[in-house]
Amino acid sequence: MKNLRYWPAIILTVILAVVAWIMLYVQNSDVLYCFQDGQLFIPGKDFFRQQLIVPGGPFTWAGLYLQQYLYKPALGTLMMIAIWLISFWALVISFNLKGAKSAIACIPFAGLMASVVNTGYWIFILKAPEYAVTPSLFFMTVSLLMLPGRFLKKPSGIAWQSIVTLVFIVLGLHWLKTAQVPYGLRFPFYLTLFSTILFLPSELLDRIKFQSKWYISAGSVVLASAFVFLFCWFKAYKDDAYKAELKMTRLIEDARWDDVIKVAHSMSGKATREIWMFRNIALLNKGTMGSDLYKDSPMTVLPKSHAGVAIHMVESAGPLIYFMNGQTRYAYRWCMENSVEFGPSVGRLKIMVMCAIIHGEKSLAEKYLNLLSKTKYYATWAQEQKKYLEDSKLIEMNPTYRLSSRIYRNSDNKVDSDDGQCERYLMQTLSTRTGVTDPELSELCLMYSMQTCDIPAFWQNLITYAMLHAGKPLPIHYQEAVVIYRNLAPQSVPENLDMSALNIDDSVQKNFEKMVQASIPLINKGIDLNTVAGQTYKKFGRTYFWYNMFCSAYDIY
Amino acid sequence: MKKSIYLLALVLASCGSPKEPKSFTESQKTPEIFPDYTEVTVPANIAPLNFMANGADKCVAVLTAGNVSVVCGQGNKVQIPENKWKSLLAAGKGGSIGITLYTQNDDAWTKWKSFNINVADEEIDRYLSYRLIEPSYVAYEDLSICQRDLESFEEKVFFSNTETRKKGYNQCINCHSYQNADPKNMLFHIRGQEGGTVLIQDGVARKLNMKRDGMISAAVYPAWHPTDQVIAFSTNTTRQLFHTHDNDKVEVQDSESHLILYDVEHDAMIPVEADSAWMETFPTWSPDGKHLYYCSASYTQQNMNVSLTRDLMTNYKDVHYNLFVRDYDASTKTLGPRRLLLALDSIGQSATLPRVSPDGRKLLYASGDYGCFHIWHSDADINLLDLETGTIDPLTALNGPKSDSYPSWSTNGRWIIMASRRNDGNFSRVFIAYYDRNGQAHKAFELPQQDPEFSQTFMKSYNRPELTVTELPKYVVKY
Repeated sequence: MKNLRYWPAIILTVILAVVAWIMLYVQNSDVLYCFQDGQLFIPGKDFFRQQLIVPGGPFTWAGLYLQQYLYKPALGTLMMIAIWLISFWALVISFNLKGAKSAIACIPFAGLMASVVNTGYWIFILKAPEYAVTPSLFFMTVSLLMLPGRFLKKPSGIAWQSIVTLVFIVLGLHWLKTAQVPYGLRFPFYLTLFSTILFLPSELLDRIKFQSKWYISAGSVVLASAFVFLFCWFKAYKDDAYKAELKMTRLIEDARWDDVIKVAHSMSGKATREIWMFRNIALLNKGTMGSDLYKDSPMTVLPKSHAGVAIHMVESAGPLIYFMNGQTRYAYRWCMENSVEFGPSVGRLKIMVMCAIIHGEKSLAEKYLNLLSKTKYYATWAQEQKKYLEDSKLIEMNPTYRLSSRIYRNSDNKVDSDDGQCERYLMQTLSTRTGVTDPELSELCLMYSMQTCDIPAFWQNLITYAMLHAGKPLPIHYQEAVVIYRNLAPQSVPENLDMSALNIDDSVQKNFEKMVQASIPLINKGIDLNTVAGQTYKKFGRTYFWYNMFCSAYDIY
Repeated sequence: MKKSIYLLALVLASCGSPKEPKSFTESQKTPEIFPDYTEVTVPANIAPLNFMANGADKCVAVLTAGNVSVVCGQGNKVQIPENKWKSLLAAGKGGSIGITLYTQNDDAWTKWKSFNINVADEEIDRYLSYRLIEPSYVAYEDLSICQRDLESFEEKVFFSNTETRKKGYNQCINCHSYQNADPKNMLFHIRGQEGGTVLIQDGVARKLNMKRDGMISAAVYPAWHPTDQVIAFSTNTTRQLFHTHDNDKVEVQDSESHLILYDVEHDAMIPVEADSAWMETFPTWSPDGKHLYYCSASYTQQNMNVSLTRDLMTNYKDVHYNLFVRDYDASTKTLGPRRLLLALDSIGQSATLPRVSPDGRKLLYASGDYGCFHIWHSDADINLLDLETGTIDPLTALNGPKSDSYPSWSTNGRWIIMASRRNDGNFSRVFIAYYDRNGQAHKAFELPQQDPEFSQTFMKSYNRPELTVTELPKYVVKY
């Protein structure tokens, strides 16, 4: 039996690996991808030296290097499991955690794993881009440093381990402060830091009479496994909208419009504005905006607050949304602003490259491509973009660049400011845009004027849209907008608009009348708008009438 | 054992000096190198001008001056050992260093047309200070005022805002300025919570509040009087906007600005009589201290139905700064009435950041099509006004295709320093140009770096380059 004294630790190794695989790869692969997307690692002396400016620089450097592997979430998950299991076994051997005692080595494992999956929206505003890997790497180093203590004579061994523990706790607390980890996210770290104190007197557990019994060990394995799983499960940030946003970001970058729409459609809860805007980008690119704009519920919510973190759209997907709406100067601006505040990242560099290519800033694009070509996983992407530098006509054929490039080319210069409000800026700028000659841009402008419920802007955009889509039937939602404004503000209809040419379907007018008949009496009875909205959603929720009446006021972030 | 010896021999061979290729194809073209150091003129006390051969797999450079010859090259980079470079400079002083570059692609070597690096007789002030900042819009995070020893690659951080961030303040630092290029008397601003202007006199630092009653903002754009303990500033109401299409990206506008003098000894502001219709900014002294040069613009609101700032937003291209001068009376510490020096608005130009040459005869300024923020204006160039004849030299030899701004002189008047975005239009780099005794400006060269690729990968801009004759003092103000 003596040879099997580590069997609980061996069983725990397997269980911990399985739990980690489920928590990281199965549940949070988009989160892992997002971590690597938010960082930049450049091989070479200069980059290494830049990391050394701050205390713990070598760990930052190593963390950034390893974090690149999260690009492939399965590989990244295996890497994280390896780091945590090395730490686990280093603790088991260092403190001779045989039998049931090995269970306590699971505590830091749980803490570190939970810290990776509980960031929520804070992932976009991390001040320490190496956040996912560096703490684990540091803890692994600390665990390995405990090993000599096992082989030193008694007072020296425990003294060494005590010193390592103390230094670890002090440095760990210092890192939490410098990395500006929100207090609401610190508990897993505290658990990891202070659990190391538990190991020091672990020998005392040998004095417990039944400690070596197999059923005690088996029970400890079960309890430890349950603890790790439940702790990580409950700590993990599981908001549907957050996960959908992460997924949609990747899909948008790959121009997988159908999948973007599917993700939006599969949302069980309310979407955020970001999801709504991502989906609209996909609809526009697919050419189905006019018919599918209100297929999903337009009722949106603010991103769920987690650990006191309030996220602004410009900090999360703002640059991508600006880019996809053809406001490439603001896309570039927010990439730069966010790089300054949260560090340069491959994700931001990619958008900056695309913007620079569209703007014709060849040498600037080359600078960023040069950086990306040195990275582990973006060299191929960088190589591919070089062809757009050489031949700008190719941009027109790339689904990611195509629309943005056309909108950019169809715009004049002005100076203004978005005041950090991405959606508001897009609505105000595009809904009132004049001189539009591009059919897709005209549709985008029309959509934003419907969103702002700006009646004069709507008529202006409708005329442009109709002119640029001559001979094609007016999609259903645009007909609905015509009907609602024609009925509610007949004096606003421009004289030069030939209403008969729009071929408004009679059923649209009838549907509007039914909606009015269904909702106005309820409103007149004094029933609040939200209740009326709920009661009428099933029948009219997929129309612009319903959006216009109940949903045009929402929070922008 | 035998294997190990072979391996050791291989390692030693790879560490040895590169050899000049024996077989090659000759090209009559000048090689494309980065930074472009072909036919530039450098001071005899500058650090090695390391460079890369664009597009080459490998390269070897043969540098020759007098009887000194150096062969170097590793990969596509030429990094010249400092001691050998010094020998080359010494041998080439008053003449030139000839460079022959060989590049290898697909195992075939090409010998390019040789080029020269000319070495002037005159040296440059040894220390260069600048602020390192990302070319950002509004956000700032890690800012530092650094000092570079131009004779080597040593860079020291003089002050970084990470120091103050430890105390929870997110502060901006800017406007480092010296009296007569001597950092014994200097200042810089710290903006934000618990900020102020740090004034260092004879090595003793103190923090001042430079936003006094009646001023529209804290004092900015400092200029030390060359002999008196008086500093000229401007106070500005400034606004930042963003271009939606142009590559110029950022527009910074003043809607109001005035000059002000600060009496260092009495810690008092001396107001400068001003016409409120005119914005006055970017003061700079003549070397004798008798004149204060500056830029000034007047803007007539075109649409009275909107605010001035909204109106300026639409008509930002209609703001043109001219060069003005006022006489300074040292006995009363007052400035006389304004005199127009150069009306650039009449030719659709706008002047910023004037600096007078040490002999008092020439004035450098940055010139662009409009406005006061030429660092982001791709049309901005450095121009030179002859204060005796009134003629303008466009300095075509030293200007680049993108923004060139923030010019300044070395103390001997032979070197012009500037911040230029000619590499990529976004990241400012320091460029240095020789201004010879005949009044000719030469092609500017980029501040040399140990790794020539550094300039391409570094993600910060060099801001406000200023030469000093000695090292910056240790910063001693504590919070």
